[in-house]
Amino acid sequence: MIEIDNLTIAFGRNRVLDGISLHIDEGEIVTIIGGSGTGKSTLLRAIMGLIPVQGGEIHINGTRTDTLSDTSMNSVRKYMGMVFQEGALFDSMNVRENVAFALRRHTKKSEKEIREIVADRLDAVGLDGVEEKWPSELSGGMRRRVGIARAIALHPKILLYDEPTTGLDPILTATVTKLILKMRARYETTSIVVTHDMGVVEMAGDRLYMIHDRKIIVEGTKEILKSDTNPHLREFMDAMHTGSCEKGAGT
Amino acid sequence: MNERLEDFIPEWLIGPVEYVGKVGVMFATTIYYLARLAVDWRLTIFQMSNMGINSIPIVFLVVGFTGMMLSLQITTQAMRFGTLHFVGGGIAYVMVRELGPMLTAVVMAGRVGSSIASELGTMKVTDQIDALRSLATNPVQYLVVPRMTALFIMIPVLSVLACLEGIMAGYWIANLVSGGSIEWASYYKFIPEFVETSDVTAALIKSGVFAVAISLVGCVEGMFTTGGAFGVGRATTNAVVYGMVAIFALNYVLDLMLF
Repeated sequence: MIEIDNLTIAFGRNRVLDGISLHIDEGEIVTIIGGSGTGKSTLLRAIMGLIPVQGGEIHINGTRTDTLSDTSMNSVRKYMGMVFQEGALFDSMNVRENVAFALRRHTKKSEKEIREIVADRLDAVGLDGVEEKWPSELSGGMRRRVGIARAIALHPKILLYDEPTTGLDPILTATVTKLILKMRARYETTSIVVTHDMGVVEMAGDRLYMIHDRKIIVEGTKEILKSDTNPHLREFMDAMHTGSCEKGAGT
Repeated sequence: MNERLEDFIPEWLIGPVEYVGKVGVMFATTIYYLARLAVDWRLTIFQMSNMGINSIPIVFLVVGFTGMMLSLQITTQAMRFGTLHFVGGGIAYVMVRELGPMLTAVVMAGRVGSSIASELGTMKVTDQIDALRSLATNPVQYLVVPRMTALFIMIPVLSVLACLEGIMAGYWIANLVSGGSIEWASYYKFIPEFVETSDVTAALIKSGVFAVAISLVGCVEGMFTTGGAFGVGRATTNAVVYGMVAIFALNYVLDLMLF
């Protein structure tokens, strides 16, 4: 479904990703972990064609996308959806208009059909009666869920989640994690989830990749988290668990 | 093949070259969508109302007071030299060729250029522009084309209205200062002698060019904003400053070309 081969991305002279390769099969949920600033979100943006790449290839559904123009890439983006870190909802539109955005621009559906689809997508993310609310009136968790509803409006085959649980409390984190699983079950999506949250990795991910120092240093199923001896993975895991314990002690 | 721009040109020139490049690319992309008639007219009409109609009061205030000031100075001198019959023509000449289009553009750069930069800048730093692209929507087509089209239509219209209002305000003061010696008939009589059709055409061309400059600078500043709230503030300031400098510079160049 998604093949990335020897991908290199740099901003000016600063190389962020250096020759990374990975693949994601249809229907999989793959998590990307790693410390802050290691290029995880950059990888997602490159897959979505939002930033140029300096080397390597990206293939989505058999189409090489890293060489496509922005206009050509739009036809690929129509079967992809991206959930941004803080939702990135359009703040000049209410929830209904946000979710209906892609439907209005890329389909010829009637207003009645669009209203039904918007209601269906909001129902899928567990939100009812918020259609007329503005993004500024929503909590962080609600914004993420509206972001997911907007991303699935066109029934995409691929969903990219950029740190969907960052800043949420444990209950909302579990809710969003279950949603990621629900989206796959309901819409048969292939998903890539960039996260720091080991709960998301353990609960939702089929496989994982860890990025460190511009390269992928660990890949495999989530069982590898317990068995792999890579010092950076172990350090990451220890820090996560220590952080969780401290958070628990704090509460 | 790792040659970069900074390897070929002096460091101090990189910023200006990069800026001109951004403006050029955005202009070319906008023209591309306009040529294909890929214009969202619903958004364009909204922007014509939001940026154009809502600017009428401030444009009228500024140009009205300027017309009054101009009339005060010209009428006072005309009374000294006994040339009261030339007052209307003189005011109309300056208003149509210079002050009407330029003051309208300056007001719009302050009011609209800043609002474009802050709106798009906020969208940029909160990932809304990337969200647009992820929803298979080109941000230039969706955000820039309606704004530039709306300003390209509205600034010339506002300039014409502002010129008429400035000339009327000038008549009011001329009549007052001359103690009623300048009546409408004598004020109006020489306006067609002074202001030719080509002057009106040139004023419309200038207004159109100013509209493109204001919208391009505002959109470039907004779409390339970095650095959170501070960056949005900087983009807004730059949009006004660069927009005004562009207006004054373009006005001189266009004067050389058109008159």
